[in-house]
Amino acid sequence: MNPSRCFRSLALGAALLVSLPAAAQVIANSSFEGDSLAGWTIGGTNRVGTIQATHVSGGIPGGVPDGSWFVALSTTPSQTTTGGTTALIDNNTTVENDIATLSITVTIPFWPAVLEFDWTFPSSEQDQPGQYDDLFDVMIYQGTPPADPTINNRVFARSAPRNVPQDFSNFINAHFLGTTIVNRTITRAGSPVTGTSLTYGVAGFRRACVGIDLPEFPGPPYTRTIRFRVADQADRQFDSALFLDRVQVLPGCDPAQQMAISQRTVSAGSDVRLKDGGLEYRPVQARRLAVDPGGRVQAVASNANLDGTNPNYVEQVFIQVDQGGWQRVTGLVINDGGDVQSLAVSGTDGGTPGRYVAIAARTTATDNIEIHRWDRQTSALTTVTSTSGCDNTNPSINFAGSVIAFESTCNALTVSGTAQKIVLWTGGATNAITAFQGGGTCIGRSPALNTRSGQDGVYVAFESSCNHTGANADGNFEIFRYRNGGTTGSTRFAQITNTTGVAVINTMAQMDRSDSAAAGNVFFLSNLADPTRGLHVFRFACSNANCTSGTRTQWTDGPAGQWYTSFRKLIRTADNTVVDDFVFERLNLLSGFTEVGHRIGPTGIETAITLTQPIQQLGGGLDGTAPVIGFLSAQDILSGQNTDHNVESFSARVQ
Amino acid sequence: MNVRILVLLLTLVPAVAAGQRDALLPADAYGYALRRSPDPLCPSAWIDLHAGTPLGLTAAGDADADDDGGVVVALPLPFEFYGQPQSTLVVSSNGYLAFAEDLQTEDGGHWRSDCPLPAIADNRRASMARVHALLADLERGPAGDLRWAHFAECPRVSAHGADACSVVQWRDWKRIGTNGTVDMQVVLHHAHREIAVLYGALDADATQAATFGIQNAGASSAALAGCGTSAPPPAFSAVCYFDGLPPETPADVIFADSFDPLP
Repeated sequence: MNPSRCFRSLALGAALLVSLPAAAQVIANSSFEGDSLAGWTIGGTNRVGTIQATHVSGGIPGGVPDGSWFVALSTTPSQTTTGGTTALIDNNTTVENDIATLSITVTIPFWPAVLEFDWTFPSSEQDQPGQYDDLFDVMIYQGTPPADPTINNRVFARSAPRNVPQDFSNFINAHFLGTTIVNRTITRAGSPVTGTSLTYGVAGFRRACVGIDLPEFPGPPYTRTIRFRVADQADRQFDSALFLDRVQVLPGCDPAQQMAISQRTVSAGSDVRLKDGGLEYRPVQARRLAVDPGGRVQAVASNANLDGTNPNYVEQVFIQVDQGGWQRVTGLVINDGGDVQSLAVSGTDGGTPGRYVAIAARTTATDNIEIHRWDRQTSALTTVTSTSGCDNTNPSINFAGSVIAFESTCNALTVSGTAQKIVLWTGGATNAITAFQGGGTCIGRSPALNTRSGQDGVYVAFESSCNHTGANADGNFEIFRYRNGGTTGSTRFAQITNTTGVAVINTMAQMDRSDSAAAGNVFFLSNLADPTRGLHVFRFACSNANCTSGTRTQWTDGPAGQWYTSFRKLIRTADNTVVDDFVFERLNLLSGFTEVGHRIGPTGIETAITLTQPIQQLGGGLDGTAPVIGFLSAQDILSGQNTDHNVESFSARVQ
Repeated sequence: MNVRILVLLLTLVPAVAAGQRDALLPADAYGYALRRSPDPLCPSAWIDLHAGTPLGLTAAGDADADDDGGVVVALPLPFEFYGQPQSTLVVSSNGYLAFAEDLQTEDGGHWRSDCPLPAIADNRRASMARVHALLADLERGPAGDLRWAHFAECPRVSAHGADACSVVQWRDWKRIGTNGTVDMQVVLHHAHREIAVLYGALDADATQAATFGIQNAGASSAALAGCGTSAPPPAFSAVCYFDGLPPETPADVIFADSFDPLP
């Protein structure tokens, strides 16, 4: 990755926030109305044609986004087995066949610019072996199309959805349609796409928005060719088709069109005052966020006056349930200058969703950071730590709210001097705290408890530079799992990663539910597979109770330049089923945009929104089976609701 | 019906209704009820505090202590405030009392008037359990005097009867940037959990947009006597806060004379 390019893309994101001029109709024929491909060029197999919903047996779920016509690019209908050019498109070694393209060259009167389009990619390859991973991509270029496998011009790509976890292509999977065979067909006499067979039917259109300010082609003039391309990977059989509509070049993205988004907080302005002889400026904003495992409860640290009792804009913890009114955590009043370091929310207990909130906060400007637990049901505050001259940070809380794991630099808790270690609070009558990392100057950080099982809160995953199992003599930060209870000694520790070199990053450990060793899996972000390709999500599936062995699987991949910056493993609370869902934030280094979404493990099935700037904080839960993503952002995502660009709380519900 | 009686009834109905409303509805979620003079339950009976103990302030921050400071007072008897027994309070230069153990918990500072109540205070070390006698950016005037006293038998009789009281007094205090002066006392009736705020001279410049009321430690419940653009208490008046319903108002003489059943 060219750093200057990354910087430039990020700068674009910032620029978009400042000023979005009125959209111009850069592509005159954006929706193919009137059965028209005017202005567009087709290529490859030329299997590209305009159709209507009535031409697809079963129709289009949710209808056609704009007008009644749209365009289909087919990987050649009717399982044609000969003809067409081939290429290596997605950076693996398997040849793509039956390539069809649709392109248009436009001159863009504003800059920067984004490409926004509605798409769906049904595929009959869904139940086929992994190598038959049909795909499509979108490229932006000037003049001659870039030769494959060039990736720098690719701004969007997807491959066929899969029935079973397998992701042969380097592209993210398109919408999963379920495993029921419905056998849809495109039928339009004389059309190049007629006869295209779509075994699992068609998913509804979804909107994508990507930046197209590729630095290889500086302007002005901003003349660009936009090319959509489909291909059949590994063979010429089993059809796939890309449906496109409402293809537009715009000054900015509208993420609200991509997912059901709610802005949960509304704060205005900023606070300026003379204090202690100086001028003090404070933006009114949300700074910390956590979401309960059920996706219904948001805890936010904000200095906004969300409940009417905070006219002086002092940071407090507020709770919102099901998008009702915000309620302040009245048991922990934070003084001016104090702040919240981190939040965590438990599961449902005693009928109260997100009953317990773990809060790491300094209550005055000069205080140290302590851990507290707020019981929403009884309005009781438990003082988990009461220390001085040291800090207790980054709590993780189990489902029942009875265990809190956190970082501590307090010798009274860690018996490790000032070295930061992970400790476990198990409450009870003695307010018990367990130090388990031992002494020394090595460091533990970012704990994450398992949740929801007969062993709720028994396991904690964390990062550590300590040599807990004898396999970390080099003192790298590795991912570990600790079992609180059972057999004593080092067998309580499982070392999940074992890497060398300073270029390897292992971070953000997460845990699953764990009523058996096999389900007590550990998830983490790492670049251990390829330090040059950014961070990806990994799962380590334990194969025995002590997790001394297991299988590591990379759960995310895709075009080079996707860098996962945060994720949260989700658990299904409704029926305690083990699921592969997680929510993520990733930086698309090609576009410079941030993508926030939900993904189902190795299947690559995901739904994401594109934002012009990174989010702050990420949380998520499964409300029944519906993923809910919580995050903080300064972007005016729902146009007009955050024009002052204060950092607000948002939620996005995957429909 | 006798016309005079009808007229009297029409005259009294609003007052009776108002009285019932005050009597039946607490002023805040916790249950404090609020009365103002000339309500006979809330007389403005100024207490002579010449023999009281002068209080020296400690600065909350960089500003002068008499501008932005506090002083700890240990109460000889506990005072129950929002259901919690309190043994110490911090007297602020800015016209409020906060129930707190020390100046690390409450520094007496203040920048803006909190309106409405309850509200998170904006000083750096703040207890939210407060009696805002007159919360504003105040300072000691040229002749300013701050003192307190405890009386085993309070010179001002509580609405519930005689008891011990602790009294804090700001005298010749002033609003920063104005010539508006303030004389006021907070009387804590220990046995009856009654708080009486007595006002002497109150300059309009001093009371403008000030906050008057009490609130609990969580800043989740408050009895508000005024703030912002609402009318402040007048000079030489009193505002009283009762933990629970106050005792019955003495029977109205006119009402008794006119409607008592004949012997």
